[in-house]
Amino acid sequence: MKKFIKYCLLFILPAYLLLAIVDYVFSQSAKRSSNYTIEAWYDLMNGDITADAVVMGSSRAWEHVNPLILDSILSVNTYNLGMDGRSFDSQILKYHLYRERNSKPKLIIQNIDVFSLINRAGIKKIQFFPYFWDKSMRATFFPVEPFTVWEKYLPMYRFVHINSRSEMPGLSAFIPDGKKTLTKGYRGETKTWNGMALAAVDSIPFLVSDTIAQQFETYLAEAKAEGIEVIFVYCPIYFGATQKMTSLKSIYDYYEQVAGKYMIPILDYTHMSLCEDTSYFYNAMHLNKKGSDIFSDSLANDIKKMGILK
Amino acid sequence: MLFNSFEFLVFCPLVFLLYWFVVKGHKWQNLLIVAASYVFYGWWDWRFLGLIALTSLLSYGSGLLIERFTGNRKAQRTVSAANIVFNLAILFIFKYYNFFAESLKALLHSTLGYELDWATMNIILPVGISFYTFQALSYSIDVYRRKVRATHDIVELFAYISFFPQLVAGPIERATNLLPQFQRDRKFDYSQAVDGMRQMLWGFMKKLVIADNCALLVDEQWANYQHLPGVSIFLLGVLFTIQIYCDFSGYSDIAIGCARLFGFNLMRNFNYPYFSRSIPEFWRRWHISLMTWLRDYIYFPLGGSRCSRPKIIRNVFIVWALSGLWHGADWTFVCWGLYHATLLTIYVILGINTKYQHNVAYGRLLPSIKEFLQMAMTFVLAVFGWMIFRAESMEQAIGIFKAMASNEFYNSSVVTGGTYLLFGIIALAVEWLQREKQHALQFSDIRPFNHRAVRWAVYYLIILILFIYAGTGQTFIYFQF
Repeated sequence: MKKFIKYCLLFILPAYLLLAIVDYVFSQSAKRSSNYTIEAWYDLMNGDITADAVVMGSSRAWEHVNPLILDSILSVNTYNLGMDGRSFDSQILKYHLYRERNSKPKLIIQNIDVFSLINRAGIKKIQFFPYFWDKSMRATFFPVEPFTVWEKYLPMYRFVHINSRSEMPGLSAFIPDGKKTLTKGYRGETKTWNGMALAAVDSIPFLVSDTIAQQFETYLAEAKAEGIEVIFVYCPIYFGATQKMTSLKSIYDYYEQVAGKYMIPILDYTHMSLCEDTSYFYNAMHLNKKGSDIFSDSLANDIKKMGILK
Repeated sequence: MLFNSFEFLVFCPLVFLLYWFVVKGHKWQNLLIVAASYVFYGWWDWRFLGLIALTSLLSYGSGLLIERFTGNRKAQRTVSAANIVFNLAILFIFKYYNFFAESLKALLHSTLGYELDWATMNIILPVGISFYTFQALSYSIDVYRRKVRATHDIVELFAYISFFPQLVAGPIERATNLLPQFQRDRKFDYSQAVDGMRQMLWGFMKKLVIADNCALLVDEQWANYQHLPGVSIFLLGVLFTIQIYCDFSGYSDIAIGCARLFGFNLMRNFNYPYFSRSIPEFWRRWHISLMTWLRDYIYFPLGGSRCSRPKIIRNVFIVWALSGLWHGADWTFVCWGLYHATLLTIYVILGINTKYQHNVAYGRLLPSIKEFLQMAMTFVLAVFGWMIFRAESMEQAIGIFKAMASNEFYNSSVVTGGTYLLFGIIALAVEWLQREKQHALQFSDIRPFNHRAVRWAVYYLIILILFIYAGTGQTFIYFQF
């Protein structure tokens, strides 16, 4: 029996240890992957962002606000912290990690829309894979989107079995190739109009999760207490979608009430002239690069007029 | 709990350590096995533990009564029959009630135009119910037949019926083989345990790498058969043939290997069936524990082969219709059983159904051309059978064969699954080389595998393949039976 246990341990432990070392080294290297979901964390986790203004929101912030345009017009340093496909409950976790490792911003440009305060499942978990060994990332995001036991306890398993998730093309996606897909957290989408999401727009209800709404207000109150300015921004939506959105009034009513409570200005771009031209959108809810540059320019000029960052 | 789950990876070593290091004496070990087995089964759905306990109690009670009525054969027969009826009634309610109710409903509707609206119930099929019911029946029948003595130790019998390695998908053990093993002290045997681990590893390889990946392709393409060319439909059948073998024999390897870690020898369930030269030989090598169960408890009592040829054929059809029904409550399974009964009847009529009792190409590396052609033909016949088995309805089964015959014969763009077919072929090639052994990794007496370093390299290679190619943790096909 002792012999059996001894050989079992001799067989398993060195292999496991070796795999754990490979996992650690691979994870460190994977942080520099050019895959956009992973790249979005690199500067933030390294503490390299010393932004005066940060953009918060979902993909409708991340793909809409070009920090370079804001930088040139406002003469500040802006960084886009938008999270693809996520509502505020995830955005706030990213913001907390940002604050843990980076300097305090003077201004938060907060994207608000119909999706901001709802519970959304299906976070792209692979963006956290390279940060498996990072304590604060583990503490912040892992309870929200738990890893499977195999991913947790079997080193390299999460990387090797990436294909089954259809989130990424495979293991090679984690290997750095020296390219960059994001500009200060922003990604300009080059796709052209495909009409997607337009049909579904009228059936989108405006839902508010009590927990997320509570998180949202706490965040606004804390920002106010810290002297951080916050601006609410309604990003452009294709006008065909705006016309169909039956929940628009309740969205405006809700955010107006919150903005009033914390004295937050609201900038509404849902009726910009570009909203009527599909050449600026790639789907009903998202601008393409061309559209986002025009929108970013308007946004920067409006902020400049407000004199917030003087 | 699935063998291919993380829970089992923790559960098995934990029970192993408790079993050998903490609990002393076979009686306490039996108690631990019962507790562990109930945890193992309850992990899936604890509500059905009562059903296993009831089946075990019925068998225990019937065994004692049969012993008590020693000398009164009529009373013993009544007790044994009552136990069979009770157990089959449970099985019928949970597994077959809806099937027969639906069939009756359809029959009444089509013949008399009468609508039954009460017929079906919402019943969950308990995992492995057919396996443990048959194992329980084996005990009471063998007590009645005086092949085994009734046990007075209730824990022993509960352990025999619920032994976790083979509880949900066999091998369906016989009281004559397994029960005595619970009645004696067990000593840890290093070489048996190591070989058990090897067998488990090979089972995991077959299940996770081949069966699970084939399953993804088969499931994805099966519903789309109307649009596939004939070759692709046949290839799909071949993939399922490999999938079901690797799935079920993989499970059996894991079960047998796992039992060996605890000092138990379970009966062999597969003996390289795809290397058979005829359909009767195939069925002597596939799911051996069920086939021998049906032979001993149904075929032989009906007269077996010691009667007139028409009666033999009748017996074959009865056994195979029941075998089909055992697999599932659907006409596709019955049809699959009758398909094999028809094939077997041909061999019976030709008087060659008992031919080929030894391994093919014994003592040779390669088969002769004749043997190869015989194996290929048997394989193709098995493929057709599995296509009926896999079909979701009789309409689909007929549709698949029609499409295979009438669709475009070949179109290279839609023939998929080559990689996993290749994996399957490699696994079968390894098994071909090892066909004289109990399992493919029984190689420590072969050079250069007699060196530990080489063996370990092979184990690491298999684990690496498992690590990279393991599929999506599908459940075992035979759990539904």
